[in-house]
Amino acid sequence: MVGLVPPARGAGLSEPGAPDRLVRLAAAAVTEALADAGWMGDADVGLVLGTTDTGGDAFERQLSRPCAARASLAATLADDVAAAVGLHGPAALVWSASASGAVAIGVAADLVRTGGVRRVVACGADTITRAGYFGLNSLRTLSPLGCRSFSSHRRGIRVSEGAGALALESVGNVMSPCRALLVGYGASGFAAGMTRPDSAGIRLALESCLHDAMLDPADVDYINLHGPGTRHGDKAELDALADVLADRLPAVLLNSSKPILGHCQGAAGAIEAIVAILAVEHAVAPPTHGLDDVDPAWAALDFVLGGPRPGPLRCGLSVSCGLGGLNAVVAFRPAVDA
Amino acid sequence: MTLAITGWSAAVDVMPFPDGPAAAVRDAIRLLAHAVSRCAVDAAAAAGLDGTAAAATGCVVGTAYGTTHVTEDIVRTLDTRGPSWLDPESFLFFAAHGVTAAASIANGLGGLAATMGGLGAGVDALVTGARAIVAGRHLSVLCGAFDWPSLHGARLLATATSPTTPTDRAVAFLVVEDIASAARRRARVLARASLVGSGPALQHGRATVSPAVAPLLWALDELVAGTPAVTVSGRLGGLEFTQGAG
Repeated sequence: MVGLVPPARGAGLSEPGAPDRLVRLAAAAVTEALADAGWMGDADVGLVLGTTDTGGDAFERQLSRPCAARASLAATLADDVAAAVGLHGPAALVWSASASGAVAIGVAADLVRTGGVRRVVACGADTITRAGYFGLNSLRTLSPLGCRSFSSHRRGIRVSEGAGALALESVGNVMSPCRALLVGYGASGFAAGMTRPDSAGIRLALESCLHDAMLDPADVDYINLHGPGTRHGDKAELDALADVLADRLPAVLLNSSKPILGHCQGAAGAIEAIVAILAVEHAVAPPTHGLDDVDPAWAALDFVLGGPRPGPLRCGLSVSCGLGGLNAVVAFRPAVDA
Repeated sequence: MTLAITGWSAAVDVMPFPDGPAAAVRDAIRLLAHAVSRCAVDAAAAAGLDGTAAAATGCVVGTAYGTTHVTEDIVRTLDTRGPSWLDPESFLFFAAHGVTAAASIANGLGGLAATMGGLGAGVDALVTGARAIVAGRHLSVLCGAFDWPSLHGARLLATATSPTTPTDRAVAFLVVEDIASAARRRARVLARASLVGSGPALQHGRATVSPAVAPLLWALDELVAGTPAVTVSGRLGGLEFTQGAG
């Protein structure tokens, strides 16, 4: 689920007591995932929510106009979303920068894998807040031209918002057809410094994911790239892929969703994982919108351009990176492999 | 699966977060990141984690208040009349993960990194790190928590928990390790640990002032005092600690 949720009737966004948009976005995505999985009415489902936010727009409104309204600190977000959709299973908040959505998937997967819960929804959600927008602007990372991932004219990110949610359970427990298999997850927190993207850290996450999935580079057919559209970020990611996939890389179908969806911050990892799931489910790789001037350094790579490209996709990866050297990669295979 | 605790460190300083000008807030955030990194380095050193072992170690950190101070600082700056300037270095800590990243970088860690949020985030971090080891991702994970509430953050959370005005800066870290890996490294096992089911979070001593760190401080106090078995529990599960190498 990706989208913008309008203000609730009778509760304008400027009203301090209005339900917070971040909670409503996440609740809408979680509800859609529960319905898609046929889990509506199962109150024991767990929730792992990933976000970069400090408490949504309600927190900022309360800063400007202190009131006695319900606390909107991020500390309560996962519980608020669980309550909004009627879930009583374990609820936890992952606060891991722009990779939060992908890390939430990994934390949720380990929760299932180690017997902590039978069913869990991993959700990434974020809204554009004033503090977040101007903070990103202070880093000079916002592009005046929109997001142009892997273009020779890339200038930075286009910040966006949304929510995505995935319903996860062990293959042995699946009662109805599933969309795809989550076969691997890898993450790393390695960087030489806080600001500059580091290909070594992305490489560690890629290797860790392939190891977890018991896959070789030759098994990878498609990658939904992080592709933020920044000069150093795009290069670091493709350098890491070249290190890990080596001769296989030119044969892998590549795309970035960010020129269409923007950078959904903490939601990006979950939303882009859904793109990768849909790609392997339908055996079609989506294109990178508007990429008509691929940086000549990557002319040998197979970016999907113009329109969707059909083909058997045995394994799709989704890469997510965050400020501070955080990287996370998830791997999916078609459900027919179950 | 039995896990080993091979190192720990904790620090509590009674000092309110400055409610002053933006520069003071920015300095305090840097102090917070430094204090958390220092505590993580001490725990890793106590466990003898360095070089190759450190490069393969993960880091999971929990916090209740995170770094909401940065949001507050930005909003205050934007609401001030006249020209304003935002410090890009402060924004690195807009997401609480900035503090986790600083701790990972300070220790040269190459494993998974994650930041958990919420009142029970310290136990969530412990359990998430332990589950990563049980799932076979890593042999060791540096698990910890920090809290240093801003006055506004404290007021908001106080409406949900207690009327107390928090003033503590609290940090704690434990090194959780696969017990066979600890034996191979000849690391000293300070305590053994195993995953237990989820349950209601217990209120421990400092819970009202440092919600995420309090259960970790309590467990460390009990283990140091010689209590044979100690259990911390949260919504993602719990960890039962028992004394020594066993």
